Formats: sequence, structure tokens, C-alpha cells
Amino acid sequence: MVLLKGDQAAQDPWIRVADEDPVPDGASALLTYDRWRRDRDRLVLRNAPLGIILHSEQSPLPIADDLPRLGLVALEFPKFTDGRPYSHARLLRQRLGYRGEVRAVGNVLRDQLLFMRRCGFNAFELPDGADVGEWCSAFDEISVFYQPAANGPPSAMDLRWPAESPAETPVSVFGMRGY
Amino acid sequence: MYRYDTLDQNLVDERARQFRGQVARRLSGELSEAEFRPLRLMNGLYLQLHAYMVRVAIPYGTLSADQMRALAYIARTWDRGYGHFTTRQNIQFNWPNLADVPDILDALAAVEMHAIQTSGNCIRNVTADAYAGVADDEVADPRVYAEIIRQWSSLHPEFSFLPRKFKVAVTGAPQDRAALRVHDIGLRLCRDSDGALGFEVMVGGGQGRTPMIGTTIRSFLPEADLLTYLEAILRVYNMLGRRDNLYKARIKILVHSLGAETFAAMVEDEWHQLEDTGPALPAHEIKRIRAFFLPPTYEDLEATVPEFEARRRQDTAFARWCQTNLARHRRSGYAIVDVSLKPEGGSPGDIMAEQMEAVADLAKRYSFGEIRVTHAQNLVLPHVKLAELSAVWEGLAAAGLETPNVGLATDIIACPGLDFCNLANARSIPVAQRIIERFRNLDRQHDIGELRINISGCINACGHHHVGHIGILGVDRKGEEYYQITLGGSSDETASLGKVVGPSFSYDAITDAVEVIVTTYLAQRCQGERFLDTYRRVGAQPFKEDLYGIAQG
Amino acid sequence: MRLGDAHDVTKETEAEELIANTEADVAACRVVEPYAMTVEKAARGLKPVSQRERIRARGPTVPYGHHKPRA
Repeated sequence: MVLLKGDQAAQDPWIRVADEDPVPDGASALLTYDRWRRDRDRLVLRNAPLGIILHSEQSPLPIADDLPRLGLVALEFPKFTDGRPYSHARLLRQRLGYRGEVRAVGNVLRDQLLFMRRCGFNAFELPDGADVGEWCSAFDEISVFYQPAANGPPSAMDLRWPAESPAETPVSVFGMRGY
Repeated sequence: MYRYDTLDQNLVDERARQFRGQVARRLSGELSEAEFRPLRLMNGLYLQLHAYMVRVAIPYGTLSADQMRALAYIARTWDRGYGHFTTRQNIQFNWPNLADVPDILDALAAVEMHAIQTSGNCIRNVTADAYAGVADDEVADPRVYAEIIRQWSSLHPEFSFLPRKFKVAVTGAPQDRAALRVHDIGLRLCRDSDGALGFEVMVGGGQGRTPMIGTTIRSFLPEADLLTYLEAILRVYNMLGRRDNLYKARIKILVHSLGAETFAAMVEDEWHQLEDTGPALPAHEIKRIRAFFLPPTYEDLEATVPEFEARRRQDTAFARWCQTNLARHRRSGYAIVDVSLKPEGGSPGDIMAEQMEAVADLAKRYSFGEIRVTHAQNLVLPHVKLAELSAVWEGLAAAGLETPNVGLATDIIACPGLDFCNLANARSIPVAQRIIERFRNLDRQHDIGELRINISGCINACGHHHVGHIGILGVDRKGEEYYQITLGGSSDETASLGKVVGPSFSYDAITDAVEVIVTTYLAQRCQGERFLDTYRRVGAQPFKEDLYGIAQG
Repeated sequence: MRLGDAHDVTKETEAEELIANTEADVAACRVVEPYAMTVEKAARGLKPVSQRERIRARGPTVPYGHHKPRA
């Protein structure tokens, strides 16, 4: 696995802990939602970073109150076609105001990175051997975004109607081409 | 018409460039077909029975003359000289080489067109009433909102991997020419008691294996809330729609299993929470888009034009064409012209490159450069002066486009079927051709009156058989083509799903079966009744008796 | 490649072998998604059993563009 944070390869301090295994002391531990629920009372006493991994059918809403304690929420794409984590990432960022790391894990494809970042993901687990520079070029392929989103540059609407302009005529994005 | 600004243009250019890179990676072998598949499906590129197929979006069915010329150029340069218009107001090219597809996308981008989201599990090309802006029963022009939805839905980061494809249709008129009730979302523009503009919102309609009529979940949604409300519907669907079974993944199944009221309550809840972070639609943006769809500069014309009336009296062929292929324009002295793409011997929706150019020329000369594509696979010249109808008719006739059958038995909707499509179980086009040939006599067609025959080559229902007055569905019986008939479907404001009338018919028997149905109708009808009215009054029984004999009853 | 150039086999394992042999052509993008189809031996060569494969082999049965279907 290659970890991409922002647009750079990074070391991964997080240890994924299987549900039966003990949670290592002092290390950044990434737990399943089920494990978190089961051992929550003990885990909250622990003085080391905690993260939760949510499968695609698990909404982040039930962990809303726990978010201030969490250093990482990993959202798993079991298949690239399962688009639920996109909604979950937006809920985390925009509804629940989560500011920590939101990581895409599982079947992460190069040509989906831009959508993911737009929804609020800021870390990505790429397959072994992925060329980070090449994958990151996917971020630059499209520069125009029609939707307001959780992350990234302003939307087309923001550019057409900047806050300071007295909304009568849109700004100068209007070079008409003529066929 | 909407014109791209530099943002719109950059997006489409960048997208074409991105796809050129992806095609190069595929052609070099760097990407396997399995890896390339999701990428091509984001760009309307299918692998069909014989070749790749490119599906080009025609947002809300509006085309300029120049865009039509570009489609003709594409057809001639990279395809086999023709294109096929679909029930979703798209055009398909059936024979491109993969290596040429990036050039096709560039040619489209040069005229402000694209193939984005014409396939895949995303929000598809937004469709609208083909008579938008000119229909005399219209509350407001739906294209304004369809364009707003086009932009909002394009490369939507959250909704590009939905459980299944997602289709939105918009109309501004009480008479439904956009089949709203068989779309995932149908939006009908209306006014509230204060005269403010908004939408009736319908969800959960659809065809395919489990056809359903959409339910109204909100009778009035203020226009400013359009995008946040759509975002709420899509989010509920994205999170809760089924992903374990391809055939149960459409929103209609979710709405049905939750119940429309529960679904509506979930949408309302999500919508209220989206108030701050959702996509706002400020009045000035609506105004900006509306400015592109303002009516052209019409002349003040008399409602009656003597030359036109005289020709109608003297020339039977012209009169016949006027009778079926003209619709009332909201402006006095103008007409809406329907151009039938259902000639005898042709394939429904097909058009040659030369014919595209002829239509483009006529549009430029007589219709303010505008063309529409209808969901019945025909074209429309939306604003023609009554005084110039003769000239338009002659121009169409010179191009072989004067078939006077819009709304009649031979104006058949048909999918490409097994002749082209990888999914089909049976052929559609030759069945349509045989029925068209059987009912070729115009006097007989006029006697039969309004009749919608729809043919699909498989259960996916691209040929809208569920909503045909007579619906024909191709099925496979041990490698042989058979056809199941449904009766009583309709996609208008009285939408209903057709019911299977009985056992299916062989390829050679299906035309006769249709004729029996028509004959039964003629025998049963009361004065002034259309086929659909008669069917709704008498039910399926008389048709069953005539098709299968009394014993079947 | 045409149907006339096809190999016909009678066992399923042989069909699998044929498909496996196309690997190099698939990798070189000369072939996309190969699969086996059922055919019967007719007087003039092989005839696919299903209508779909007959149309795939011979082309559309209807005219399109300037093309006319083969009789």
C-alpha cells in the first residue's frame, strides 16, 4: 500500500487492529466501528490516537459525538462502483464538521481521486507500486467544478458570482467563443 | 439557446483531453478492457454487438443548426454516414473506431457539446419537453432549469457512482411531452397561489424489468430550492439504494420499499439539513441562464395566412402533412414543425448526414437556427412562420423527411434491438419496418387516429414498450425471437403502464397480431375515441378474444 | 477475422483452451473480450445457433446509413 496525503506520499503511523487483537498501547490504532462500539468505555480512557474505519454501508452519523476524539476516519470502498463513501465523506466534513483525516481505503482508482478529494477525502491508500506523481496528475485533469463541495477550489457559481460583486452582472468568465 | 462561457468550455475541453489520455493508455495496452470500461462508460462509449458506440448528449433536446452540422460531419468522417436519435434525446454513432473517439469528442467540444454522463451509474443527460419555449400551454421554459441541472449534475463528485443510472426530465407544461412519470425524477414547472414559480416533484418512475409510475413527493418546490432538493433526493438514494442486485438498484425500488411517504420524509429531513451547505441557486443565476432562453425576435404576424390556407386546400399531400406534423405555437402566425424520422423502410430515429445538413439549413433559414429532438425519436423545427411552411415542407421533401405520420400508427418508437445492441434479445427495427409497411396507407392511419406503438428489444425498455398504447417487447425463446404485447400504456400526464395481453408471438406473427389489435379497436370504439380511450373503457378482454380465441379469456 | 476462419471444437475444455490461446492477442489489443459460441455445421460452413451470434457474424439485418444488409 502507498499512502497519499494531500498530493504527497506519506508514512502511515496507523495500525489496523483486527477485532480480536489487543489494542496496542501508545500507538495510533485504527479500529472497526463494531470494535469501537464494543469497547468504547475502555477505549476512551486510552491516551493515544484513535481512528475508525467505516465500511461503505456504515454511515458516519452514529459516530458524530465521537469525532472530536478521532484522528482518522477511514472510509472503505469495497468496490470502486460503491459510491456511498462519497456521501459519507461529505457528511463528515459538511454536516458533522470533522476536521481530521478522512482516508479512502479499499478499491481506490486513479480516476476517482478528484471526486474523492472534492467530497472531503484528504488521504488515499493507493495500490502497491502506484506511481504517486502519476496518480496525482489526476488532480489536475479537470479544473472546473460546478458544485460547491467539501474541499478544493471555488465552484463555477463562486467564480461567476464572487461575494463582493453586486450581483447584477456576472464576472468576466464570459468569453463567448462563437462556433 | 445556452452558450458556454469559458468555464463550461474549459470543462468540456479538459474532459476530452482526459479521455484522449485514457484511450491512448488503452490502445498501448497499459489499460486492460476491464480497467478501461469504467472510464469509457463515463464518456458515453459502449462496446456493442459489432463495434464501439458513442452516445452524444443533446441536453434537453435542443440543438443549434451549427451543432447539427457538426453531428453530420462526425457521422460522415468517423462513422458510416448516419446517426440514430434515441428516446432520451441523445444521438448515437454506431461504428466509430476507438482511436477516433477522442477526435469525435474534440469535434463535439468545438460546438459546445459532449458525451459526458450518457452512460454509467450517474445522473444522465437531462431531458425536457421538445416543445419547450414554444408550446402554447407552457407555464415557463423548462430548459432554463434543465441547463441548471445539467451543470449541477456534470461530474458531480458525490453522485458519479450511484447504485444505478439516474434520469431526470423537466417540463413546463401541463400536457406531459417528456414522460415525467417514468423518470427517476420528473419535474413539472408550476406556480403557487402567489404566482411564484416552482416545481411539482415526482420520483420513482421508471421502466425496465420492474416498471413503475412515479409518485409526487412535493406538490410545490420553490425554484430557488431546486438544487438542494435534488441533492437531498440523490443523497438519500446514494446511501440507501440497493447495491446487491442490479435489477433492484433503481430509485423506484427504494421508493416502493420504503413507501413514498417515508421516502419523502427522509428527503425533506435531508433537505432541511442541507440548507447551508447545499448548492444554492440564487435568483441572479436563474436570471443569467434564463437570458439565454429568451424568445427569438418574432415578427407580429396575422393568425391566418391566405397562401398557406390556399395550398392546404389545393395540395392533399401538403394538407396531410400539416394535419399531423404541425403543433400550435404560442405566437400568432408561427407553427411548430415536427420532422418525422419514421419513413417506410427506415429505422426509427435514424438520419443520414445529408439529411442532418438539410434540417440544419432549414432551421437556419426558417426557424431561428433552432432544432429540437423529441423523446419519440423525431426532430422539431420550433418556430416556423405559417407563410413559410410550404417552403419548409418542400425542403424536407427534397431530403426525404416529409413523412406525414407524427402521432399515427407508423410513428413507432423503437430501440436499436438485436441488430446493434449487445443487451437485446430480439430485433426491434425490422419489426417496426414490417408494421410501418402494413399500415402504410395514410387514409387508414388517419382512420385509426392517434396510436403509439413502442418496441423494445429487451426488458431494459429503451423502446419504452411499457408506455406504448401498444407495447412490444422482444424476448428470447431458446435462441428464437418472440414478442410479448402489452396494451394500454401511456407516458403522458395520464401515465399508465401497459398490461401483458397474453402469450408472445413469433417474429413472423407479430405484425398480424398488431393488426388484429387495431381491428378490434376499430370495432369497439365509440365516436371520437382514441385507441387508448377505447382500451381504458373496454379493457383487455375483447383484444384477448380476438388475439387468442374465446377459450383464452 | 471471420466466422469462416473459426476453429470448431466439441469439448468445453477445448473451448477454454482456445480462449486461453488468445491471451497474447488480447494483450496486444487485437482482440477484445473473446468468448466461445455454440455453432452447428451447415452445408456452407459453420452457423451460429443463436440469432445474436448470427447477427454478430453477418452484420445488421436491416439497411443502415448507405449500407444494405447481406441477403
